[in-house]
Amino acid sequence: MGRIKVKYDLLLFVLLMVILFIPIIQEWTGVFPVKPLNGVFVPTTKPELTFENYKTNTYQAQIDKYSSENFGMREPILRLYNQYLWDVFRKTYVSKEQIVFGKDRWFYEPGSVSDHEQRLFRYFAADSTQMASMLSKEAQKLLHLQQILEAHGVHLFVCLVPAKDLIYPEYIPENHDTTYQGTPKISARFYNEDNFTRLGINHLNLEQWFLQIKDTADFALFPQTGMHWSKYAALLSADTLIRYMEHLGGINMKNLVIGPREYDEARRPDGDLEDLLNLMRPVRKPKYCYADCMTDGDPTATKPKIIVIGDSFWWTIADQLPLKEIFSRAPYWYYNNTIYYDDRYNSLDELDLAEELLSSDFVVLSYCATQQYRMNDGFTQKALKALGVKDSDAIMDSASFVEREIQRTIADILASPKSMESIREKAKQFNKTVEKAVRDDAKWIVNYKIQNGTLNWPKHDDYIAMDSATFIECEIQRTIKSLKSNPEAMQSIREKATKYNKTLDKALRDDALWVVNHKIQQGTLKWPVNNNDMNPKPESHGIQQ
Amino acid sequence: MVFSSNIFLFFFLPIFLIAYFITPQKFRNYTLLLFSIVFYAYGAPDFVFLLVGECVINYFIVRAMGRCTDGVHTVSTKKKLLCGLSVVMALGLLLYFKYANFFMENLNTILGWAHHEPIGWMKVALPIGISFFTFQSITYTIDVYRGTTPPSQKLTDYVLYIMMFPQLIAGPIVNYNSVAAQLVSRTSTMEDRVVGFYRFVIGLAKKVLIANTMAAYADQVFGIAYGDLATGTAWIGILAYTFQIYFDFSGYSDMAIGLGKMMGFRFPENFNDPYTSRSVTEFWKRWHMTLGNFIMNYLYIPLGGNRKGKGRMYFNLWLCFLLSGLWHGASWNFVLWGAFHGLFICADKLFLKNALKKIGMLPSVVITFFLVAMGWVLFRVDTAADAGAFYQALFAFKGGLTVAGDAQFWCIFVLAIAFSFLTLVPFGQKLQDRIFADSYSKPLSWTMFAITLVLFILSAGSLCVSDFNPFIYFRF
Repeated sequence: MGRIKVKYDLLLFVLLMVILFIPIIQEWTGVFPVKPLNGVFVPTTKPELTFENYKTNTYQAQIDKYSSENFGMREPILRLYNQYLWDVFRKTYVSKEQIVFGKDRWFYEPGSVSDHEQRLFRYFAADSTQMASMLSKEAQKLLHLQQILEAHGVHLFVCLVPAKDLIYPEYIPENHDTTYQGTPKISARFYNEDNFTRLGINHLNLEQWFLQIKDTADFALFPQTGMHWSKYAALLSADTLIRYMEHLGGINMKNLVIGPREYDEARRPDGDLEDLLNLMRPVRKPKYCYADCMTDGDPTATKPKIIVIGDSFWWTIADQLPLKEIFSRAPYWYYNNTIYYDDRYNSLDELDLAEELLSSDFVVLSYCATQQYRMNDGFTQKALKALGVKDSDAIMDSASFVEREIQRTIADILASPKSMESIREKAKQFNKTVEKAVRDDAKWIVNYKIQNGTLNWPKHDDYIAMDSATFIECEIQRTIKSLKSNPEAMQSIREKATKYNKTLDKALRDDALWVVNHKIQQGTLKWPVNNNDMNPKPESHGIQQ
Repeated sequence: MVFSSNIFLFFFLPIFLIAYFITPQKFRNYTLLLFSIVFYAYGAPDFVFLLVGECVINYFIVRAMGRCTDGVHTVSTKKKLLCGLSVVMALGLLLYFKYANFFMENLNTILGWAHHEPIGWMKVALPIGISFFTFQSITYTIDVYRGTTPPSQKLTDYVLYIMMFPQLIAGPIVNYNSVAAQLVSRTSTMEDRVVGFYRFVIGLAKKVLIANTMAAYADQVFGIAYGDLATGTAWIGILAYTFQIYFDFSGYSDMAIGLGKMMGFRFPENFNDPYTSRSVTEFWKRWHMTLGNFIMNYLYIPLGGNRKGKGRMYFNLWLCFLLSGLWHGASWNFVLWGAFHGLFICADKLFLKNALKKIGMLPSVVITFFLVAMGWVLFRVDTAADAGAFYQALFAFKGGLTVAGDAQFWCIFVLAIAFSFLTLVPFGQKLQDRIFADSYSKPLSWTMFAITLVLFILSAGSLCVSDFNPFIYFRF
């Protein structure tokens, strides 16, 4: 019995020693296959042992950290521990800044949740006015860029990619981290959407489409434990995107053929948030829908050249689509920082931006709703500069410009005692406050200048070649033409002409003048573009068939 | 280097164990000494020579003292001088390294009151483990002086006694006479090695899985301005700290005892379910028992103990606890903590212990636990004013800032309570006796093996998870 016990203890001891040694053996040999940990982190470099480092304990501190990150079997040990935390306490060491754990095991990106609650103007949370003004400015620049590119036959459009919180708000936890509480009740996503619509910037709002199909779709639009749209939803979005390009460019492109659906565990990146938990086994959830994607191979279809500037949502499309079949080229400028899907360049610094833009057919700005605050990562500014706009910060819409002119005129009036005396009299006469009378006078002067063509338009370098009167006249003529082609509008004008005893031509011109003035006041009047730049673009830049 | 670190668990420990066990028996002390020096030199490069030097000098002093011949009823003057020299050297180092800053700060405060310029001085760095190895060094000197044990015959054995890495940093305080024989010759059976490893892992789990979880909560509570604390949170905070300090310290002792057992050493137990004590006196017989023994044998008894009248006994007791408090840290709050316990020890002698005995087991345990927890407030805060503010938060019965513990905290909190008071019921005592037994039956050994493995993986996972916080993607 005693000898058996000794042998038995020996066995246990040897087992314990083997277990203790496995990490060292693994570190030295890597003999056991282990699943690497997910996520991006900055590894600690192995410190150099010097007497000075050792004496000041810096070597010890660094080697502690290094060995903690590099000991053998760390990955399975960490996964096991995470699994224990998750199963027993529904807890994870992934920081709150990385994941919001919603109801029924739905995961969200925290920025998305905060944005949903309209608490987030990221990075500008302290000053919403400043952010709003910057977004507004960006939209004006974008409009200008769109016009310039349009003049060269290049179509720029914004793809508003949906965010998970907007499509599935029902799983957002009731009381999640309230770090952002108290910040402005406005979100960049809604602000941009308004600006784009008001200014006439081409945009495709996929959020609305997602919301429409959410209740009827029999597949997940967003994966339960991922932050991006599901791979299948991305495929369908790509199809919509192609239809939009066809509409915008007036071209026929290849049709996507989506294969039969199959259901499976999450494939990358559908579980990207869950991956971060580094668990042993997946979080319990329904299977996701996947399908292969091909094209109909239409030989007559156009293969446009596109550039996509955007965030990580585009990966899900680019990885699934047969890009080379659909597009002549489709480089992806990830956060306007790194080039992917382009054999010609390694870095954005290598290319001639103007040449690249003007030789494309479509420029797509594809940012998720939660990334709208990024203002295209400086692309608009860079592109305008490349296209010859020396001071893109001077770009402003007509309403802002008119208001600036009014303020300047008010300042002139206030500085002139003679003018002020006259205005005080007018104020008395018409029972107005002096402030109101000053503003009305300034407004009249600016409008008079506009009508007479004596107002100096903002100098957008060489892109404005008309004086204000000619430009206004052009706009009036364009509006008259547009009204004439609208029978309902013409009927209404005829009635007005009879009512006010005007000729039809006078009534038509008055209406057109009113429309143009209204556009100026609203800031939706598109600035004229230099005639020289309106030349048809060179053949080499045409769409490839 | 601490036991609860990946570098110790995955590098130092396996390499040491394999090196130790493949070394022939008679050379194992050298292997252990070499690794112990490396262990100490890793964490305290500035002090390793000081420690080794002090050991060498003390070895020769005590050796010389051992050669002195005593009279029939007298002790030779030379022996007394050598003993005094050895103790003064050990205490001198302790006083200088641990208390010089404290002394100078207080001196400058007094000078400030007297409108004098403060004295400039360079802050002294504290060598890790100095409180423990000083006391061990004193036990050696005194034991030899008293003739309880002969001086060590080999310098390396003595240096090993002081520097042995399992107990070098945080005890237990091992009397020289209790390990003298083991230093010369010891055996470790396979069962000792297995059981020792189990004990080590249990200690590791106590430290990493329980104490660290309690610490995270307690740190949050004690990080809030005490005036703003809600009463409930203040209570949970001090209870979390009460369990943190117990599982942290007893866990470390378990690890040391376990490692010692693997090598054939029998280190004394340091904790015996202290929170089940029925009086503060009993608490001190169960809490940090090796320190209690040291204070009793090397301070209280030499001061006269209870042999010189009641008044002197109370003074001796109180002084012992004051000094014990100061030993824990060079700060007035530790002195207050010692005084607090000294006060209740005296009260026990006067009436409290008997009164508690009369009210029954459970109330006396609850009252004692309450007193001990109140004492930990003094131990945790930095100043007497902070202590006052925290006591106010505890008894103000008001709302305020709260710290919401997560599910993990509450589960571990409940477990900490259960483990702390387990032995109050016979089943719990039986269970504990079986877990901490010297020998296991076959099925229990396999069960312990499985439990140990799980606890080891969880502890290691917990140690590396706090450093691992990756991002999904790099963003620009």
